[in-house]
Order: sequence, then structure tokens, then C-alpha cells
Amino acid sequence: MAFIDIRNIDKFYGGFQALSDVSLSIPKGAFVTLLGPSGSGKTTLLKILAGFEEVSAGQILLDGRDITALKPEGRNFGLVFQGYALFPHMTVFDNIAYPLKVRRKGRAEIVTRVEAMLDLVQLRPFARRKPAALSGGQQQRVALARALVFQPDLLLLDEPMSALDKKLRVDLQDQLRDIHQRLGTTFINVTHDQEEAMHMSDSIAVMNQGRIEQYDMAHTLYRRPASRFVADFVGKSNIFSGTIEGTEFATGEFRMAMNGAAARPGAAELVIRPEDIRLGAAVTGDVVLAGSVATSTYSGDRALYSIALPGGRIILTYGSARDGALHAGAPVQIAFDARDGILL
Amino acid sequence: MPLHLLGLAGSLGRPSRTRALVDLVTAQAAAHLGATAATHDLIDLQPSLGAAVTLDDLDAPARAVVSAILSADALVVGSPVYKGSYTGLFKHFFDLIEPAALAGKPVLLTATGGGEKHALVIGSLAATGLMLTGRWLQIVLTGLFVSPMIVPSIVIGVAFAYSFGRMGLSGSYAGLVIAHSILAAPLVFLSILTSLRGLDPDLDLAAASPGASRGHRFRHVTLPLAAPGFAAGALFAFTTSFDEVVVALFVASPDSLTLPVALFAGLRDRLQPTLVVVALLLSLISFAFLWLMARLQRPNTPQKH
Repeated sequence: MAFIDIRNIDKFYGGFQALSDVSLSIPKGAFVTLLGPSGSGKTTLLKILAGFEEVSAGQILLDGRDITALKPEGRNFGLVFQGYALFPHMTVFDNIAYPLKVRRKGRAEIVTRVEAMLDLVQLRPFARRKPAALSGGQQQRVALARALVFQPDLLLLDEPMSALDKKLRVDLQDQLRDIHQRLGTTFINVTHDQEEAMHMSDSIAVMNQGRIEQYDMAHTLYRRPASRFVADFVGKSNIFSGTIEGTEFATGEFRMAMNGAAARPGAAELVIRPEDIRLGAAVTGDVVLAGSVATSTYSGDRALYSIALPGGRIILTYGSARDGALHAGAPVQIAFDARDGILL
Repeated sequence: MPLHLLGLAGSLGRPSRTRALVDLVTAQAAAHLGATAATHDLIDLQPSLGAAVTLDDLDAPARAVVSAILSADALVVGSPVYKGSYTGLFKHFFDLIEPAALAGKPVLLTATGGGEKHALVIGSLAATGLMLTGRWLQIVLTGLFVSPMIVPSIVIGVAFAYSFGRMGLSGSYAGLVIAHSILAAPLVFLSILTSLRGLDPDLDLAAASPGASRGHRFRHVTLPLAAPGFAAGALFAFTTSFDEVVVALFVASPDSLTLPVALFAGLRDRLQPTLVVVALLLSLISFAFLWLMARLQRPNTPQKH
């Protein structure tokens, strides 16, 4: 049975519909990410889960119990805010102890539990400092400890990494995944960063314009996107618009036999991921196209090329960076196979 | 059906000036509006009120007062000032009542006493109450509340002199206190409102999610962070009352002479060396206040990275 069951939620702000018919089941102990561009409704959904916003229609069940009308203070959910929201007048220790003091725990229990949290987020030496004396990453770890110290049923994270630099972000992602595995608490994270989503979560719900486009495990989402939006938003992709004719996919630049996948004739879109395209002076595959290098972006371990086809179409692909970058304008061939094609 | 006004005094003793004020205001307002009126005193609800944890714990007379409050068209409430705030019993009583139960009911706040602490009670009650209301109401109420700052003080002075004359408060000490409290309240109100608005709203949500009630959040998060605003408000109120001349000229009498009015009179009649000494002392006090104010208003927020 689902631990969190979100059923057919609608949310209106005046005439604007922020969420339409959103349903999501989350098993106990899962790490789920709501991924989407800004305005997709992911933060609205998180606020509804936290109890800060009311639903216009629909239900939220926690372990089979309807919590839709419950106030935030009655939900027992931990929350990590984008801007940390640490209490500036309290020390790190007192910040983390606050939820326990609200619950009127004894002094000894508070000390034990806060110290355990300080160890978990590796901030024991900073217990007596005020938040202002900590770095951004440390502040976010205090916020995490404060949200977990009272053993919430669910931890909600609202873009927790967005104010941190890249290196710190990856470190914190590793720590967060580690903490999740150790505690077994159910985590729901909101982000617009697909790498972060892929890196940390068991499953990802991709949101767009107030709807859930697809809810799947990360690799399914990447290899089997359900819509053009998902294919485009999650990872890089080349999307060809064309038609299915018999067993072939036909577009302006090429025709390709689709082994058995062409069950629905008519207009279709074909997605080819950049890493499934081979690049070279002479390459082989089900489809081979000639073009020239338009731009190259070197990133150390590899280079991302955009290849211009004679018709003007741009194809993205990776090349090995070891052999040195290809120059703009250099003639090249690209090749890919039908089995790597994803039909939408 | 005529409107029904209800007065409620938070005083703990008898006889009570607060009770007298609430009685007076309620009766005058009722006469003016052609409304019916009644006044209750919280001391009458003892010991049932003090022992109650929920409304259901109250005895029958106390419950009758609660339902009278809920059904009244408007409330006039007043509390004596104990240690710079309304009385504990007064707060306890309103804690028992659901906040939403009083939504939309007009309330006139009154307070008795003689000093800047009393302006602080009214100003801070208004500012914190305002943060809980809707946006349009906030704009209208803010305008109304700060109007004593905008209306020229000569106009206010004349208005006070005229209305105090009608109420029999001319030249009295009480009249002076009322006038100065009204003048100082906007400053208290604005400085507290500013410090409340400057708070990150996520802080309140961060305190709510682990289960803190609204009262707990206010005491442990909002109030400590807005404390400099409260203190600055008290200072503003004191200095306003301390050096106000125009209104004091209109409402003061030999019984209730303020220092600036006395100085002014001294300057006009005959120049004495004491005046110079007093002026020097006042300047030094002003510098001390400036320094204190600058310290209080130093921002106390964590930097974000």
C-alpha cells in the first residue's frame, strides 16, 4: 500500500490553475523527486503536502488516513527550505532542539537526540555558533538536522541545493542520499535540476503546467520518456518529427526501419540520445548522415558537438575529447541504430 | 434591531480605572450609535476563568460572558498595564476563544495609565493584530493608525482641546496622557510593523512544521526577532511625549505641566540660568537616545550564501 497517496488534486489561484488532477503514490521509505521547470506546479504541490496551501479538490492520504484538512503543525512532516529559514537568534544547537522543545521533551533526551543529529550532519564542533557564522552548505545541513530530529513521517525538501555552488551541491547530494539510506525516512524533494533528481532519487515525477507528465524510475524516465516534454527536459536529446509508414519511420533527412515498433501509423516523433550517435570520418549504422561540425563544447572528459546537416538541422552528439576537438566546419559522418530510437 | 456593544475590562482589582474607562467609552459609544450596551469585568469570572484550559471548563456565568462577546456587534476592551503589557488574565481569556470566532468584529482598544508603556500596549497590539488581517484592511487600518503623524499637530491640539472640553478632561493629567498616547502610538506601531514585516515568512513556517502553535511561534520566534522594533518603538514613544509642545500647550494646565511647556513659559517670562542647564541636559539625553536607537536598529539577520 502506498504510504503517501495523493489523489486527484486540483489547485486554483483565482482563475489560474496551478495543479490539475495530480495523483501520485509514494511507498514508505522512498526518495521521490518532483522535477519540473519553474511554474510547473512542483512547489505548489510541496506546499500542499506541507499544509501551507489548501487544495481546491482532491485528497492526501498518509498511511490510509486522510490528512487533507490537517494544519501544518498537526502533520509531523519535516521541512527543508530553499533559504534554510534557520532561527537567527538561536545557536545551531537550539535551532535543532526547537522541534523537541515544542514537543516538551526532557532536557536529557533533547541533548542526546540533538547531538546524534549533529553527528549525522557532521556539525558537532559548530553547535554553539549562530547560523550567521556558518557557510551556506553548513546552514543547509543544520536545516536538515532540524527537520529530521523529531523523526518526522516525511521529509519535504524545497529546492534545498539551489543556493549552493556546483561542487558543494554534489557533496550535499551524496550526504543526503546517505542520510536517507541510514534513516529510512520517506523523502520528497523538489528541484528543477535534472542531474540532482537523477543522482539522488528512487523515482522522479516530471511536472509540466500543473500536471504530472511521467512518474517513473530515473532510468525508465531517461530511456522511455512518455512525452516530448519529458524527452526534452530530462537529459539532452535529438527529436525528429516524422511519420510512420508501414514499418518505417520517415522524416526529411532519412527513413529508418523500426523493428516491430511501428504499430501506430501516422505522425510520430523519434528521440535519439546524443550518446547513441556515433561520430567520425566514416561510421556505420542503420542510418548514416553526412554533415559538418557547427559548434563544439569541450568539458574535459568529453566534448559535445552540434552537427549541422545539409538541410540546416542540428544534431547533438558526444565525441571523445582525447583525440582533440574537431574544428568548426570539419566534414563528418554521424550514424545511429533503430534499436536506440525512442518513438513517442 | 439596535446594535449591541459589549465592554470588557481586564482589571484584577476594585475599584478599577480600567473598568471606569471601559464603562465610559462603551456608554458614550452606545449613546452615540443608539446601541444597547453592557460591560463585564474579568475579575467577576474568577476563579473559574483562571482554572479553565478550554471553554468547556468555564462555569455558567463565565460561559455567558463568552457567548455575549461572540454575539456582540462590536467590542470595547481595556486592560490595565502590568509590566509593560496587558494582564495575564486578559490574555488567558482571549486565548480560550478561537481566533476565527472574532474575525470581522470591530474592536476598540482602550488602556489607562500614564506613560510611554501604555502607548506601547496599544501600538504593539495594533501592529501584531494587523499582521493577521487581509491586505486591503491592512492598508486602510495603517492609514487610520498613522494619521496622528500626518495631521498637523496644531489641528490635533485644537481637536483635543475641544473634545476634552466636552468630556470634562480639560487641563487634566488624564487628558494629557491620552493625547500623548495617541500621538506616540503611530511611532510604536510603525517601528513594530517594520520589524515584523522584515522577518522571513519561512521562519514562521519552519516553526509550524514541527508542530509549534501560533502562540509558541510568536513567543519564541517572532517576538525575539522583532524585539528591537518593540524597544525602538518604546524609545520613540518616550521622546515624542517628552518633547511634544504644541498639543501640550493646548491641553496642559498648571496641574499637568510638561517640561517643554514649562521651559517655553520660562523663556517668555524671564530668562533664568536654569533654562540653559536644562537645555544642555536635554541635549545630552538626546544624544544618548540617538546612540541607543542606532544600536537597537542594527540588523540581526543571518547572511545567505
